[in-house]
Amino acid sequence: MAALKHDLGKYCAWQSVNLGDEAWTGPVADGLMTALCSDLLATKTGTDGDRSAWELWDLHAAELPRPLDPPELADVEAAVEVLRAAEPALRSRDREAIGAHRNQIRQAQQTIRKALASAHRTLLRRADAGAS
Amino acid sequence: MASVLIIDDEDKYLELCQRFLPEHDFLPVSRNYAEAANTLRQRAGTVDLVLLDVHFDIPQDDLLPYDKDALLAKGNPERAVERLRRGQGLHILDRLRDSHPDVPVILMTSQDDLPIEADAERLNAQDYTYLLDDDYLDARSLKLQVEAVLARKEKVPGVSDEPFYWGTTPAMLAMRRRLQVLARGRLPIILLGETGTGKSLLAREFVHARSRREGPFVAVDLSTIPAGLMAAHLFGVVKGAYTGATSSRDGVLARANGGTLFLDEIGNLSLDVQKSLLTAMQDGRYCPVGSVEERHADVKLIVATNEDLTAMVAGGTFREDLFMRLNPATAMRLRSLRERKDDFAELVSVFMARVCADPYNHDLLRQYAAPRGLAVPGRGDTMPVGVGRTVPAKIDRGRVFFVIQPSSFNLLREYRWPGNFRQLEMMLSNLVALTLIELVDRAEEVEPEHLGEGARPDVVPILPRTVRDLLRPMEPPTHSAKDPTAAVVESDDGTHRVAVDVQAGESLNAVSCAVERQYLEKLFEKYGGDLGRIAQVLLDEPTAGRKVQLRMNQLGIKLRRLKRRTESAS
Repeated sequence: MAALKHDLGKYCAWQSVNLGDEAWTGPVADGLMTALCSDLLATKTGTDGDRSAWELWDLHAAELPRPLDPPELADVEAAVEVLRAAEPALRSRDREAIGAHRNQIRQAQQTIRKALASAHRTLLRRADAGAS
Repeated sequence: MASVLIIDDEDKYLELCQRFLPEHDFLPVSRNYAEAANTLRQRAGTVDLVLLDVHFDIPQDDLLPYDKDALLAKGNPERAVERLRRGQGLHILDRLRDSHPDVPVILMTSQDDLPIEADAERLNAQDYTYLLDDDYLDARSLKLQVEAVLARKEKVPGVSDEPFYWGTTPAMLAMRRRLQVLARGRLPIILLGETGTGKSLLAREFVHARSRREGPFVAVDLSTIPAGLMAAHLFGVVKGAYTGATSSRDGVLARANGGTLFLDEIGNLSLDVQKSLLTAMQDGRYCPVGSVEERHADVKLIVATNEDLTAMVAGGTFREDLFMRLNPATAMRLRSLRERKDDFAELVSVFMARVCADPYNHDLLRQYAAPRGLAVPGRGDTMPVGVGRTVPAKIDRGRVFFVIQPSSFNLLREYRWPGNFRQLEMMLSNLVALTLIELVDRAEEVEPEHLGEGARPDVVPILPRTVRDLLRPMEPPTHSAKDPTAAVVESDDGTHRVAVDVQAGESLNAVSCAVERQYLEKLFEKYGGDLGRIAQVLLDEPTAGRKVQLRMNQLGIKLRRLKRRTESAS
């Protein structure tokens, strides 16, 4: 879970969360496009290439128990699907499509972060309870 | 603009910082400990802040600790390596603290995300390591944290005017704050630290000055007083108390009444005198030697030692009740010069200004300045001086600027300074005097037209040779090649026996390097500088002389000098 929170939660909104509200309304500016592409298409970078947010989720999700536990992970999974749907628009830098979906994307980023932090804390609490 | 080093396995922090904190100068990202250490070494004292990630997806060989055999032998090796990656930032932090104890470090993670190895002591005991509060970092909170840390690093107003040089590091400034609080209280203060770290200076100029006590400051070095006379010295003596007590006289306790009593080298106090001192501390009452008449003294007590009082208590040579009465919980250890590499450049500046104010050096400065058209201060005024590793861009006829070449500066910074600040002060004084005498003696040659193109009258280069010559006599004695105990002795079974000087170092690595350095030097002497033979002996590879040479270079062994020494010895 720590790895998922670090790799996906930390970086899925790394640049874009710092943009002001004005970036999320009106014409899609270069700043938003660059930030979203970086955050979602290259969520994790490394010598073996870039990984998108959904690729990271797929990688970790394969090892998660089903049904997902803690249950917040189901919210993460749903939010990741929203991001995955935006992949063609991001890759083609389709400003119109991004503009139409940017608020769903933003919402999905926030959901992923919040749900992963919550799930991580749940597991830490369980570990503490188990240890005591 | 602050100079910030990011240690991270990715460029994400750099991208974020460059975009949202453009007012600072971000150095190239260091990907692992080795790169970070190298950058900090090269930019000694100029890195204002380190941003350190915790999780490093880097090749196993680059992960700390470099020797992983023991770790990998236990349990699942893959998991062990993964754990190292997840907590690598903490390993890097530990190693950086060895060489750069004061550089502020922000750990780029939140409490929840820290690996369990991140104990509270490591993170909180040092108030120059900071942790992010948020689950997820955003540029705004990072900016706030960076600004807050840099603001703490700013000089505390007035600190630079104090006789003791506190520097700008958070650790030293925290010590200053704490000592200021202790100075105002009634409780005793224990100052710990090696010789020359400024214990007595601090007691007199800082603690006493802030104690709000109207009485005098009285200092006693107990190591200089014979054991038999210690009680009389402390408590006073009445005439006829013992042979030689021809008159009554007050002790230091009486003389310091209403003020501050500083007892240096408290470990030298005999057990009997310790008991009397304890009584005096408990209710202020004591009796002079040979008298039954009680006296009363109200003193603020400061004690200092370089000894381990806890060990002395355990060994029965120091009373536990006195030790507890001395308020050991607030004992303050003054850092040695070796531990202040982060602000070594500033220390050199401070002490350079101090030694140049010395009348003898000041007179030399005046003699140097006058024929070169520099402003000469009037009698009683101080000549402004500066010191640095590079020549300032603009000429300034109002001061003299000493240039210490980077190689010489590194020699000085890496020297072990057993005499600490006192020794540094003497060293700089010698450097100034020897350099200026040379130049003053040639004053008649110095006319403006003789200065040469590009020559700067306001710049005084300190020659590397002068630095080396002054440092050499202070190096610990090494065995000469003619000393039979110094040579490498080869046993029948081919193993080597060699005597080495081992001294306490800053780290085990430093000690190991010192041992290795001596061994390699002696092998060099034994085989007349034949690196191939040394490689044969050490690696069973006669063609690996280059490897040996590289290692010797890494250890700082000057092969040319060693060769000369070997040749002259033979």
